[in-house]
Amino acid sequence: MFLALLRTQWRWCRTIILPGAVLLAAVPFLMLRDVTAAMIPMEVMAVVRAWSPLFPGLAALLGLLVALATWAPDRRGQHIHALTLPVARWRYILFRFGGGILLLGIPILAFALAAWLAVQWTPIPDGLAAYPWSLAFRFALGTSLAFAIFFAILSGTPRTAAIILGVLVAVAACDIVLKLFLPQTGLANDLLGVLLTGPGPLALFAGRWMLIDV
Amino acid sequence: MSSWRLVAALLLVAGRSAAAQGSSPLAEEIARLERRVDSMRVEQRHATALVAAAGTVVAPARSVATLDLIRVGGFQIRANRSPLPVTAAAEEAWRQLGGYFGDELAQLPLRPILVEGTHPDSNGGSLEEKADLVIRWDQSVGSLVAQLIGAAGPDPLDADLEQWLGGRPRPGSGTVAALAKARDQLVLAPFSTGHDCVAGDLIACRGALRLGPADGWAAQSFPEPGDRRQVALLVGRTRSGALAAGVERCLGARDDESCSAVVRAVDISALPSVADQATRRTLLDAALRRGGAGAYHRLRATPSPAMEVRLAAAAGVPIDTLLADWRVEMVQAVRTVTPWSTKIGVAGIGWLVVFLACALWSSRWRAD
Amino acid sequence: MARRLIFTLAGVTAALLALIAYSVVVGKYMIRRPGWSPGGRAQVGSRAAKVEFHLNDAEIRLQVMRLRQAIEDSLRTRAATDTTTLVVAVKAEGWRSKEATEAMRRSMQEEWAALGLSVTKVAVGVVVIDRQTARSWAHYLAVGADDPSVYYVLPDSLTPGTCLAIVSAPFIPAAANVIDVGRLRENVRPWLGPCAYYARFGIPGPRVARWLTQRNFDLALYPDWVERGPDTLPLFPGLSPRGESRGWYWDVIYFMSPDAVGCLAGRATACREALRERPTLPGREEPWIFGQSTNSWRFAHQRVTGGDRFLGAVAREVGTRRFQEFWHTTLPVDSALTVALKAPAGAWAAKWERTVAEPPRLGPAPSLGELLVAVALMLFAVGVVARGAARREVV
Repeated sequence: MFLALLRTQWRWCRTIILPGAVLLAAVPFLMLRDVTAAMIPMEVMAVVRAWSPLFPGLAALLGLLVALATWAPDRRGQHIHALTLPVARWRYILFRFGGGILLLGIPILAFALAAWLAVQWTPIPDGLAAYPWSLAFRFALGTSLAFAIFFAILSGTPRTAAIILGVLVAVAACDIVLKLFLPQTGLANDLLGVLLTGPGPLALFAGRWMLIDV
Repeated sequence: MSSWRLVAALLLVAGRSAAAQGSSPLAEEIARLERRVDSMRVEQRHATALVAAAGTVVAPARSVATLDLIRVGGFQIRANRSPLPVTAAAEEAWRQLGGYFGDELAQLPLRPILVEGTHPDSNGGSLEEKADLVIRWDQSVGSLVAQLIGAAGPDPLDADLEQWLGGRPRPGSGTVAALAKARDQLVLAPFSTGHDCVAGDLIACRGALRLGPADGWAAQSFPEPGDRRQVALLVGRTRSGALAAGVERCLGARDDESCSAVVRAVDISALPSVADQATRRTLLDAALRRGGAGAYHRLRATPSPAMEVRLAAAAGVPIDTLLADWRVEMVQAVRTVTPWSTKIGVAGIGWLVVFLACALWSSRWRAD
Repeated sequence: MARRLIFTLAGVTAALLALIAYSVVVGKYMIRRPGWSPGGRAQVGSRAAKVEFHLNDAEIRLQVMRLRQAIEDSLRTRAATDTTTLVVAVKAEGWRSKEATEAMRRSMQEEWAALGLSVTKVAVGVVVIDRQTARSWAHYLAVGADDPSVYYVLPDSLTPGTCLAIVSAPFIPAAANVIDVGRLRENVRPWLGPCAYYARFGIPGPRVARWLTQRNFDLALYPDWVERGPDTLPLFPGLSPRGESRGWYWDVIYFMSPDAVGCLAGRATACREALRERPTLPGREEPWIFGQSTNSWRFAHQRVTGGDRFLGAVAREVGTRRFQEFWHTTLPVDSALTVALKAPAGAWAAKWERTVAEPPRLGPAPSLGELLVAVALMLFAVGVVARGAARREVV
């Protein structure tokens, strides 16, 4: 059953997985393209830092797209086919989730190999070191987390999505209203801070995504 | 030469050599450097004369660009040829100075300065220490105006005013943003006089802004027991000895007598300020605007240890009137800086409706 | 199917082009050398400019020598009952009043006494000059520091028993005879610098002297062998990825050298490398004057973060007797430090750095906490979905 579901999931997700793998494989080479042997550590760090915000964004985007592709056919068919399958529902969910994670392994592996190859060909100044596997691991974790979050949101009813969206809009509205009377406050900013700084749930995305570091 | 003269000459020479041997190495080094400096000065005169004769300009370091003299109002600016809008900025700066100092500007000469415009990608100019301002030429006129005023602006030599302001008086603090910031600063200050001033208590404003004579600042700025405790908390961090004991009693036992004693014991200059320098500048700006062209002259011509007397003289109105108007301006400035308009409200509601419609457009809710 | 393929390919191409464009932007605008470099001599071109340059250099030397002479004269003529070998002379315009000079002298004397110093073998002279003068000197003297605020002239053949510290006058206005004595005391604390070490422990052995000279005395700027409080970086009290200075934290960190960052992150090998003696370049002239700037300029050039207090911390740790032995050692400096500290120098320095600032987490590997939170969140998400699916009905 799992293999059958995986095959259908692959058909739905391959237009995201394959291009994603190609793009992710290109990123480390593009990033390190300008690094030469004449550069001092600070310059190399400047290049790496300029690219590092891209990685959490790519991880989140990949997770979102794969989650969308995973649930889109079921949503179109109002989950009728899925719910008529001879498998317990919780198992079905696990199979879908596991399939998504497995398929995400393809672009992640491509990224890891590309990062490793790119640093082999790059002259890294003394005092700095390359972390291709650590970065790949972080990327894998970030992509999986994003996939899980969007998997959960997208599996819900439109009402669930509306509630989530409504909460976000309400936070933004409260932020605006509060600022009128207390200009120093920043509710949205503070909430983002809580989410993105440790031990917040999304702290992983705000951390260090440096392929080359001290 | 007779024999005694010869002996005297020999003794003189012997004495000198003995003195030379007895002088310290440091003194000898100083003498050597003095001789070197003297000979280098002679060489410098020769070199400068040669350069003048050859008609070339002495380059202090790398080659020096041609400098143009820009005269705008009282500004005398030498600037290199670059896209930097020096003339436009000088015109605007002169206009601002005229509006600020009024008729008194004629008595306050500006310092001639040298401005060098540099390429935005470069790390420095070629004139090195000679240039008063080294500015990247991608900067805006507004930023350049502030720098010109800062570098060449008049120095009225008014020690009391400068001490109250924390620097030379200069225009730029009458803007809406500055007033809004002043209001925020007073509201967020940890002292009651700040909040009360914004709320409308003019006596609190006098205390917060230190408008009275210096010997009354402590009592006027910190009238409440909570204020004095806060002062003790702030100054107590860096103190030791007898003062530390007083701070301990003030904060631990919440004894107001001890808190008051701490406030009295601290130097005036070490007391925390309720209103910061930027806030005080906005009041001065308000007084000068109110008083017109002769305001600054009256401010200078009024000798008084209390700023309130001088500001009232500058504005030409009683200090309470000035403070009341200034307070209203501050409150209005906040509303201007953070505007709430019907457009934004309608847009926000509109988006809500759009998202709700998206959410409801679902097969789950439709009957078919 | 074909249409999907075309759209997919178009999307991939567009994304690739965007990435390439981004890499061009990064290459053009973001790779930039740091905006400052340690102070070097101004370059001169024409003969007249050369003469002017050398004249200024000679005049500065002469000024400094005269200051040394004045200090020597003061020391020679001091009273027999005088219990210190510290002389303070104030030349700065804003501090010339009697009250200001007296306040300055008193603060320095108090600081001298607080360090446990009285009559020492190496006397110390402190001369306070105008900031503008200090800056104009920096233009002609290659002292290896941007905008130096203090110059040190160490004991040499000219004055073998005196160390001179020439400092920029502090910003505290001394007008109206009201001087914030507390703030003044805080300002004068680092003025003595290496001169205090010379006064307390004598002239160092040749190895330590060469080591400190090579580094411009960066580890001996704060005489702090008296327990006074933590070594936490005073200029950036929020230096932490979670503190109020979070926004610029990583900018500041990566302006520092890799050894300094590695040592701050707790790597003993990086600390050892940062403390190591470097081989002396042949033909290099021994400088006659050293300049140092305040921490705000020096911060990115430090080889050991907070290093101005490093030797003070070592002295506190090992005690003054063992520190004296280290000061006169003939061993390589890192070995001498290890002997004095009774612990590997690199490891001790890494441990000490944790008291200076919060160690940055280097490299992209997620922490255990992040990993656990992510996994927990994933399990939670899947659990929520499974539960929801169990309740779903086909209508």
